Amino acid sequence: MLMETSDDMLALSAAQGDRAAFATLVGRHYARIHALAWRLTGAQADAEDLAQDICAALPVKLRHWRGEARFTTWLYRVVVNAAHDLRRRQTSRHQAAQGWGDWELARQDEIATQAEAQNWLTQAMTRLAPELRDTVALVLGEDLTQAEAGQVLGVSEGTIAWRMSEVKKRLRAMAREEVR
Amino acid sequence: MTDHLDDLRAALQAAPTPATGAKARAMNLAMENFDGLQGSANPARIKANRPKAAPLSRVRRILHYLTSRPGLTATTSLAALVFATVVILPVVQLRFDPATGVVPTPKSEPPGQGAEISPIADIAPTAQASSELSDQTVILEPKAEIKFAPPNLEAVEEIAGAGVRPDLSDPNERDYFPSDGVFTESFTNAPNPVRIAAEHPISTFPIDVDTGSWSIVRSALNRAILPSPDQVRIEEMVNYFPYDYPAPVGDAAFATHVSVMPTPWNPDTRVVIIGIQGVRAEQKLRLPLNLVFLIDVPALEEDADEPPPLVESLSEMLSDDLRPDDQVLIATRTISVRRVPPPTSAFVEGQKVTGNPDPLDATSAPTEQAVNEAEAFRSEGQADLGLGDTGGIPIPSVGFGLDQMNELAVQSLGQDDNPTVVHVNTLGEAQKALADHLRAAQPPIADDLEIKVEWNPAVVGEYRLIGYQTRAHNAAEPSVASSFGNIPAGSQVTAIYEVIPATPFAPVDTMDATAIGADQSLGLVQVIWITPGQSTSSLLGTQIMGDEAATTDARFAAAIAGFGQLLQGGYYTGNWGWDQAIALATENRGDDPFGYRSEAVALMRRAQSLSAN
Repeated sequence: MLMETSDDMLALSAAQGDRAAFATLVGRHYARIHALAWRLTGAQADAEDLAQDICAALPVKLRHWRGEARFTTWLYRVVVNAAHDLRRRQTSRHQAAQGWGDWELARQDEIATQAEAQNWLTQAMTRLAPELRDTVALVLGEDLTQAEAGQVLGVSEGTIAWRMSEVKKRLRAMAREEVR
Repeated sequence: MTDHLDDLRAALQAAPTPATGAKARAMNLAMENFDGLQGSANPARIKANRPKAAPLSRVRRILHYLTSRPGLTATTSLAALVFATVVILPVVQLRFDPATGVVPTPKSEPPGQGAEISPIADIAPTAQASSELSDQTVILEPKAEIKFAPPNLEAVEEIAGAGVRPDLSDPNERDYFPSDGVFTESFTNAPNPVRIAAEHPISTFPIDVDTGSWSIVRSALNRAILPSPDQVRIEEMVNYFPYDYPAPVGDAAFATHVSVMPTPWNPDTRVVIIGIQGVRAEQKLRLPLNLVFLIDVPALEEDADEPPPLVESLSEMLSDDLRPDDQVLIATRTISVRRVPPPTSAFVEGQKVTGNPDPLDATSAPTEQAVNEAEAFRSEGQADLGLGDTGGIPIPSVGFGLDQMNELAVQSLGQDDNPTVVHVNTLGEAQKALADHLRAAQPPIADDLEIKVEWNPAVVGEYRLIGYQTRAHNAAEPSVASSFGNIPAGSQVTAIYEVIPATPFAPVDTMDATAIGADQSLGLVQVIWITPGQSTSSLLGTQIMGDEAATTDARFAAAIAGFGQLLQGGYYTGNWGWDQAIALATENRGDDPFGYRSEAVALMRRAQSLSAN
């Protein structure tokens, strides 16, 4: 029965101390949290840690949820903020990019074709600036509209559009390099 | 192009499944914390503590939490963890060499460290400044009630609510995950918080302020609409007006001009108006220009045979200031523009570029590189949204027309990389914008520039910077330079602070009061820059004595700052109203050769009648 209740209702109940509502909410969204965490960090281990940290912090954070944004939007924002936090803790941008490399190594015994595709992803993501990566993770990975992604990242829709066109351009440049 | 995006989309959506047990572990932890929270804390606890904590300084309050052992060990005492996360992180980064990669997580930091870190936290007090903005407002409210004009709490909530991200303004949210600047674009337009000089003695502001907000305000008022508070950016309004600051003397590239006057809207405080003037260069000394205009007009308005009237006006305006060795390219998305404006130019016509049929000079044919750039911009079809990788070339954005619909896009462009955003809706405004940009195409006089104001806590109790919210300056790290690339000759910026004395000023009725006492300055303005081609920086320090007479320019700037605040809802302006603002502006119009200031007064009158309804 709870499964049919909307996220917003659940979050509201959970914020007021409803244990079952909270459990349902976290259960329903764990996969989403994990997936976005993976898209943002590029490393399976980081994604799991991040997802766990977020779940652990959710009870407190929910207290401050006022229902102004949709629950998923709010949740995305929490994940993005947590990922930024993680990136900051990693010593440099270089190391932040390394995540994708580690992940790529771990995947090397995967089937050849798949590995090839992922390798391309790894390269592509590593070479995008962090804010572009965030944008890509939300717009392409999570299928958000540009307006929604803007809400999550706290920038205007125009900025998201600009970033996506920037991504397009980078990808094109990478493709050109491959040809060479 | 799109298939690359699709590839990326497919690859990203194939997220790996979490390892077995990971979900269960996370769930367990979440439930544990959830239960802990229900059991111990009374729901209002974190918030309820705030007013009580107000008399303590922030650092001491944190120490208080850190040193209370149960506060750390009990997992239920989440309030303490929240603060610990914020404070220890920056400090740890200071103390551990980032290269070693050893950055302990906050939780592993022993509680005893709290005592040690306090001096560091004092020196670099605002590493979390941006996350602190909303927080500070809460903490400082009691003081604000006493010393500033009585705050209208409803008004400030309303202003804050006008922001784009309502729940990120939640102080606890911001505390837990301090922003790293990613969010600076969308800061709400609530007034900058009052800062305590003893805790945050250093304040910075940038020199490259655009003036888009003034045009928006004017455009709105001309249509008999009051601009919304978030369209009002006071620093952009103040800096729209040229001020006649004396040029730097000697070898210095910059000069600082300080004016101090009683705050028009608050008899207990003072405003300090700081003007920074860069050395002006001779027009003839400038480098040849390579101007590329990207004109985005709706397709329907385009006439295949005639250039838009806009382009015509543009070319006429430019002709006076151009030289034969300049080149002008005009690129549009679809139209073919047939007329060629003087004196020397070429158009990108559809896909192909035609040269100037009547060149004044053989060398004026556009260089291949310039054409390529223009072509690249054009083919991106991005003139409507922004430009891609500009290779470090600053791209001023000029919005034409009465419509402000692209305000957000243009503003975000301006905040990203590009220093200049203007809106043009009259011919005179176009003249100002374009001619000013030409003048701005000057040899750079500085590579990096940082303007720091260090307040003297012995004299200044509290201060606030008026405006500059969208820039949310990283006052966080005083050691980090606010670098803005090339600063062109003739750059000018004006910033206005409202300061509260540590001990009340003697009542001031006259403008030149010297009641502060000559032995102690209010603070020090430091301008630090790197001269192009040099590796060492230059420093210009100017003390704010407190008895600097306010010039006409400074008073006019104060009037505009008041105007902006009234438009934002008048949180700090108390009983000071439109009549007073108009009077102050009128008295201080000065020479006003171009009529900008008279126009401002007219707009203030209009705003007054609009807000009376």
